Amino acid sequence: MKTPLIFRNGFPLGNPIYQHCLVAIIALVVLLASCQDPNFPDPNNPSPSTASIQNLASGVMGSSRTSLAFYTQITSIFGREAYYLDGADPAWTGNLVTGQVDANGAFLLQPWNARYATIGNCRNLISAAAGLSASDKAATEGFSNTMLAYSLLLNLNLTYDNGIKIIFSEDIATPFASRADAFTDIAKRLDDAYAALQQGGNTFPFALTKGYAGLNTPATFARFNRAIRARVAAYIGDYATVSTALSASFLSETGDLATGAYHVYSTTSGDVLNPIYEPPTAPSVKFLAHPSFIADAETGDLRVASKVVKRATSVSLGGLSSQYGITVAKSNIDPFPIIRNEELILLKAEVAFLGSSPNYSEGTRLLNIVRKAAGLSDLPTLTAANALNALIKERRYSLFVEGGHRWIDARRFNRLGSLPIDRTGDAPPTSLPRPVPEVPGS
Amino acid sequence: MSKWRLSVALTTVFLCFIGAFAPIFAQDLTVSGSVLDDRGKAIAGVSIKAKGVQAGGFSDKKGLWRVSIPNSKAATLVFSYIGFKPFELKVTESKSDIAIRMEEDVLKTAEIVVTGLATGIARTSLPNAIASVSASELLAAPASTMDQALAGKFAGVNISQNTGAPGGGISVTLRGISSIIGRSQPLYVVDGLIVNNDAVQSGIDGITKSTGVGSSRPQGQPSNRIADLNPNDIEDIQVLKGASAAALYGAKASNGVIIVTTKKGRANTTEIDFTQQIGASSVLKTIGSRVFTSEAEAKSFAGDLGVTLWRKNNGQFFDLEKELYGNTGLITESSLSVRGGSDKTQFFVGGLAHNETGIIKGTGYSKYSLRSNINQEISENVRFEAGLNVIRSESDRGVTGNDNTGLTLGVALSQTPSFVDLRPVNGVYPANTINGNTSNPIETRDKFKNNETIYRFIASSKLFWDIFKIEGQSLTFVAQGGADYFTQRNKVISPANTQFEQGQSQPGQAINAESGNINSNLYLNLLHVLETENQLSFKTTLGYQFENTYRNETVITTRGLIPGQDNINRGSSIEGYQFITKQIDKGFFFQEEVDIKNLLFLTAGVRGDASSVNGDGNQYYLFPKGAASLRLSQLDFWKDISSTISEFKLRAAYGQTGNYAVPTARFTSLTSLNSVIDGNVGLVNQAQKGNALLRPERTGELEFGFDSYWLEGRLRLNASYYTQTVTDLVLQRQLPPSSGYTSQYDNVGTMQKQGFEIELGLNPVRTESVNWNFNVNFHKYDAVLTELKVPAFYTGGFSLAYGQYRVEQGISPLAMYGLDKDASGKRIQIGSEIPNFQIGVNSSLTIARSFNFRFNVDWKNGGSVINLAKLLYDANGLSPDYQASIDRLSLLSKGTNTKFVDDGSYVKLREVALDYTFDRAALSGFLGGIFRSLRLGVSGRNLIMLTPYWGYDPEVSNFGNLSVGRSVDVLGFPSARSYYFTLAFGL
Repeated sequence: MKTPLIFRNGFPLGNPIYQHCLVAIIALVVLLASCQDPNFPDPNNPSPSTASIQNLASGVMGSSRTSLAFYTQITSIFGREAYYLDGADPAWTGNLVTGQVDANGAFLLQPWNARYATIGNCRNLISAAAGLSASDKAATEGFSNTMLAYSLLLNLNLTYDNGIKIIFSEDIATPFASRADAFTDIAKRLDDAYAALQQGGNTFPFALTKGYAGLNTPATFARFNRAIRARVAAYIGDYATVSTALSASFLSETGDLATGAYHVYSTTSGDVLNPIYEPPTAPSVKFLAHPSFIADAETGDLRVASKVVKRATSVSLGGLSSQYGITVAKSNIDPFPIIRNEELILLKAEVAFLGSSPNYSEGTRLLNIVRKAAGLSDLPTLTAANALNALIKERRYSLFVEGGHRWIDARRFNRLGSLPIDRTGDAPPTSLPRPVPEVPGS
Repeated sequence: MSKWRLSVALTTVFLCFIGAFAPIFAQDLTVSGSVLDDRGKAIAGVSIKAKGVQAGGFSDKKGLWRVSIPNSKAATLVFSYIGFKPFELKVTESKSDIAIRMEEDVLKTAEIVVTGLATGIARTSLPNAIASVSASELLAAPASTMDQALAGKFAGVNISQNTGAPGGGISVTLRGISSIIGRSQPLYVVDGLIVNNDAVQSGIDGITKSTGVGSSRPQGQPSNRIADLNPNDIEDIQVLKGASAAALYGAKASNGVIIVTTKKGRANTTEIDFTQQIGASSVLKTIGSRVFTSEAEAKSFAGDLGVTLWRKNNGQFFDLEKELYGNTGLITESSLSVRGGSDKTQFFVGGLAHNETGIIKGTGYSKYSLRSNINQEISENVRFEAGLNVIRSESDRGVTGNDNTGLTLGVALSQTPSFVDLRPVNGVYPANTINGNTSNPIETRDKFKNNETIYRFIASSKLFWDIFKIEGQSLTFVAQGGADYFTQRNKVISPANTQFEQGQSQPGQAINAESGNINSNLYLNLLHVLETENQLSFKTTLGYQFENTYRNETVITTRGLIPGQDNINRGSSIEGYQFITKQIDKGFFFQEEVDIKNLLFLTAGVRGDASSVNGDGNQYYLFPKGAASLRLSQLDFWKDISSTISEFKLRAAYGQTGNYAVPTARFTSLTSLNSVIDGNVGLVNQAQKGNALLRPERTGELEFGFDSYWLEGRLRLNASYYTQTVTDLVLQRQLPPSSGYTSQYDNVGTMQKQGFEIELGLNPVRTESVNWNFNVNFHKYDAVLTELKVPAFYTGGFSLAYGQYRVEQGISPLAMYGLDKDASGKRIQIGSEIPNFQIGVNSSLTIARSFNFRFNVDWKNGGSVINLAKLLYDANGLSPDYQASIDRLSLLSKGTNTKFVDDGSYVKLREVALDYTFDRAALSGFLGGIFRSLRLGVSGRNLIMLTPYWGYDPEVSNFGNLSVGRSVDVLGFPSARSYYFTLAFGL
């Protein structure tokens, strides 16, 4: 190296002492900056290991409400209970009404994904219960599996003949279970959960929401489990099981028809609002009753007066029109039913009419309980010829916009073809397609 | 351990050099003279540096200079000044009255282009195709944001706006797509500091319900923060387009790097420049609406309500689109700059006040910026530069774009028939209920507020310390660092007294969002230069870098707000959201550059990067680079043709860069979002599963090309071919929802991309009085996913019925699919976002050194757009081409989307400007000759757009800046054209 020509002791950094100080400062900065740990934990969210049983159980109940709006709206459209007249997305008056539902669209994917997300949360809860006492563990498993089976049922209601996945795997090639296998699986999960609830002691190791008032101990929650089991059995046509399940459920012929299990809502931060509520007097609403709901109603049916409201002008879009807003939800924090006594009484009537040994007077008596509450006169004893029609009609008015009952009933009683059609080319779907993200190569 | 060892090593290196050399003394050499330009005018502030020794200075106001070189018998002085070719003067004895003539560098051959974190070389030796633009080329016509001004100026640089809203929202892609899900935008480096270009969401999605607050695919179309820079402060922009050039920025550079240098002070002169712009803007293109010809038609459209409204308005056509988008925007911009200084200290101060109103009443953008740059020579071997920029920007962006509530102007417009008059009568806005409408868009325009306010501080500094400098050798320590801090406040107010809000369950909504963002970085570099007597030069750079990013966002949504109030505690319910983004990055860098006799230039380097975004934040990933350029025209055999082709260089470069997934990608966490129930916090799985094994994606690029200058510089022809392979491609792969998760970031693919760029520069007329420059640039590329380890999936858009992108092995990553299937039932491609080619044309004609005419044309040929604007109009029965819309819808119902995936070609006259400049001589009799220059001009931006596209502008992105899924049009803010009048003077 040549001799340096210039290396002056200028101001101030030419002085070797200052230069050493500068080097020391730089070294210090380097050291401090290197000391930060780049493998820091998630700055926003807790990891699964830190969640309490209550957090996870509340998560199951909270997430059960996700995308219930779409679920209720689309199944109400399919069953011609309602329209959703919103020009912002042409699907509302387009393929949801023509029945050609998009296999990769939000209306199918969002509820589908939400139910499997709830199932994931149920599985988290089951894992977290491993360390609990035997009875708490059984109670937790009974709760989780009941909620899991119910979530599966909602998805099966959508894809129906196309089946659902009952093995929860990240392998997309995991096969779909057929409709029959899926129903069997759901029934078994409910039965296993019922058995576990019997071992569940006196209380759950977590609090249930007020939506499960009266059903919030392992023993009483088992009644909710049996109510869902009765619904599943009815969907399969297994009336013997409907009957036994109902007898262990919360069915009460003399009780309030509204008694049951509900999703609950509030305006608290982080909570959500009732999925279908719209202010009935607003200048414009989107969720409107299908005009046939009013046209087909018996005069004086209180269910009509309480569930729809006539608006000053009709709303029309894309050739669909209605003047009736939906008031099933009375406010934005009104609970939304999961299953309630009115359906159980109707299920009991269904067993009486369609079970292996029909009992028409018993069935008529049960229908009349519901009719009386609706301010209608008693029906005369029904016969094999008119009992099913009467049952379907009462179910239509009692369970209006509570989760697609009319569509499901029309499908299981093979009456989809008789649902009203407003425009040429419209048709209710039988089964929604398998969602694209579940099917390899689609 | 590794981080400690490296620090110790760095420290040791410093210590070795310090104190190792002792000074000796000899005779001084003193030279002086003057420096003039090619027209014989004195140039002030020319930098003069002696090669290999600490000596130099600047020319003064009269162009006079004097340099003393201590302890020396001979020296080479280098004179340099921006825009001029450097001049070298060899001196062997003390001398005075040396007259230096500097030549203007019209073709930028002598421009110094960045090659390392602390190094650069002259363009003639550059081994990459690095584009650059100077201040005058950048702002041919005024631009409210810097990125807007870049459109059409370079080959391979695509500038596309996401929305026409004032204040931007602009995507910059360099050489096309280079990632599927990773960051899509280039890295912006301003004076050595990486500045934030994020787009922070306002939370407006929570009101339009296009998606929820905090969604991973937001649709609020905010502006991206590079918009905050004042374009008038910029001296020069260099664009490192591909990985081979950008490799020195490592794991964040796969989208390229844009290096911005702001104006610096000048020694021995004080220049004051003031520019005033006044302009106007209007909508560029409208859609129109179906014309109803009879009451019967109105009746068949909307029944009795149709008849009522038809009669009410006497069947007149009411142009709601003009009412909403027909405002004439007013633009004013004042900018003032002062630059000056002494031999030791130079400063630049730039101020800006920009105000504009938009083509929608109530919208607008304002920006106030103050920048000061100081260069200080602390001692003969220590220099310091510091820049501070303080910015306030504010935009009122209105409510446009996608929506699931019927609120946005575009959606309401697409739903409202033309026989309805929605104008307020005596202050009362008629309810708009026809055709499923939930809002009166005129009322929404007048009452809805969507305001974004930014306060930003950008501080950057550089320290140059010549640790030693001897004949032919020097060692310099360069520290660069700084911080970029901004707060963003969004206020979205949807007052209760509107038709729209009356339909909400808690009428009256307000969003108050605040975010604080800080980016800080520090680069420490050691640069060793060795120049031998036989014209060999070696530059060795060793560097280490830290960068931290931290953002805290809070969004508070209030509902049930009482009228006239917008405080969060004046509502009946409050929804809170908070999100923290944290990222820690480290990197080291080594580079060797060898220049052999100005003939062959070789460079090799490696960069290692570690980041908290990866599965293991301490793991360094290496990104190598290598490049070579050969100036054939320096060889003997070239002499025969050097009169035709004066300069010819072959170049080849290879480099690797990376790209990261989002900072949340590695976490598997629970969330309480929407899961608080009955007073308890519910914790649920996030839809995204974490990946602890995530690596950065890696882009390797090989680039070949040549640069040539013909006919005495009358013609410049540059061409580059590049091929890129992106491995470890990060994808948000889809998990079957039945697993409980819907996605996971993973390294699962390989993408192949190639393209070429041609730049042709012509100087067909160059006389004393007329100078005409004409440049054309061309870019074409293609990309294909060559490997995908996960099942193919659809992404972007909304659903197949509306058109989506597909991620599948063997096809383009920007291929679009829909319902269309072939005979075998397999879905077929119906579009691609990749254009066939893109051409930019720039021309500048100067007559008599005072009259100047410039224009810039940008032509994009091909590239599809998923046109949901048309679908909305069609589905609502209100397309202006109503008959055609029936056919389109009928095709859609039969399972074909092709009518809603449209050709997005365009030709745009981006800039046109005409101005006249009076120089000092012409102004000598005016006001005592105080003016240095005076310029008057008229100009326009986006005056003409030719496009077959059905809609406002094929340049659109409903989802903002993202790699895959950009070209989706859901009736966003329409684009505008603008005109300006300019008055500028210099003192």
